[in-house]
Amino acid sequence: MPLIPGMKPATEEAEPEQSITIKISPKDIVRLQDDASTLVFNPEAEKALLQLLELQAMVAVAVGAVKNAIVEQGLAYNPNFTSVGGDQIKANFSYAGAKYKINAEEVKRFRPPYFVPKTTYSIDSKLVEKYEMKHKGRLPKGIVKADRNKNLSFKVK
Amino acid sequence: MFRVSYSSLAAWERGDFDRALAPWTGAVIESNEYMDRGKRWHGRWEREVKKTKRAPAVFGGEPLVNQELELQTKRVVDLNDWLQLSGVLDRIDSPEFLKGGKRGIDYKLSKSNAVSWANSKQGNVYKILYPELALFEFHCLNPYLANDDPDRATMSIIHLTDKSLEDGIEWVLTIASEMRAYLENNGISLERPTHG
Repeated sequence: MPLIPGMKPATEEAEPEQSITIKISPKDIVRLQDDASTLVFNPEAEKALLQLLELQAMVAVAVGAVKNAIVEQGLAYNPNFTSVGGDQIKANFSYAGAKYKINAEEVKRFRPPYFVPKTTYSIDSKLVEKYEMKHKGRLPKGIVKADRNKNLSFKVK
Repeated sequence: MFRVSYSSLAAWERGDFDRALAPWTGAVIESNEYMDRGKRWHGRWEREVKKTKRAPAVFGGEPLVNQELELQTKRVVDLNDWLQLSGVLDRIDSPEFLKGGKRGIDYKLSKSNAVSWANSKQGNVYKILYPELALFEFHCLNPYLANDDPDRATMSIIHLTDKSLEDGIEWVLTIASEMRAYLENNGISLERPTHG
């Protein structure tokens, strides 16, 4: 069964001309790691390091493509899509970063003649969240919703 | 038989013992504003689904599939010679992509988002009650957020497998055994005065 409903099973797609089997040997990875670790004293080690970095980049691109596909299919399935999980992995589509920020335009600034007091403000997100819930989405004066990007993250159970 | 529900078990697990044991002790747990509001919204969603033949608009409004819709179906399952599990599910259907498998859907009015519910044991408990389920969706509406807030409505999918069933049974047996021991040690009958 596909991880995301709506995704066509692979068997319904056109068969690739040639099937490719990728075998990754943990032993080879460890050998590359050992070889690359000697870079301080061994110029030949950079070949092993380069191979490791190439592998890392390939895997990162593949995982990124998987994330994009899951988000796209999840949102196509339901606009409120937030997460999907199986027995071992959970994919969570959520916002990252601070939820609120200070609206500087609404904050008065006091500048004594010779000293500029430095005041820092931090937002008590829990209290703001309570206020927001109580006032149906309205926020305390001086606080607005921060622009945040939403990312898909995987968590292995 | 000792009949438990997910809500009793979950209440016991989070330490809300009065609420967990109320069906046996007879303690009166008054419904609060949130519970009343939840019941009203559930009624509203059920009427909307029946009338429009679609999921509630706030949860995406997808058309119903396969005409196999079941709404608010209650199940009771005997887990062993002393324990019964009961529960009710908002909606069951059989979308094409599951190839005959069933999908369970629960609508929630909740400050918690769908991910929190997906992380709970409720999906696994539903797998015990409805073994035919292959997939489960939690659709949550947080009525305390503004209508245009992207977090107001959230949806989480969990795939239900044999492992979900095993985990669910283990959790139910563990919590129910604790509750049973407490009731017996305090001389309280395991039979509910009224079945819920």
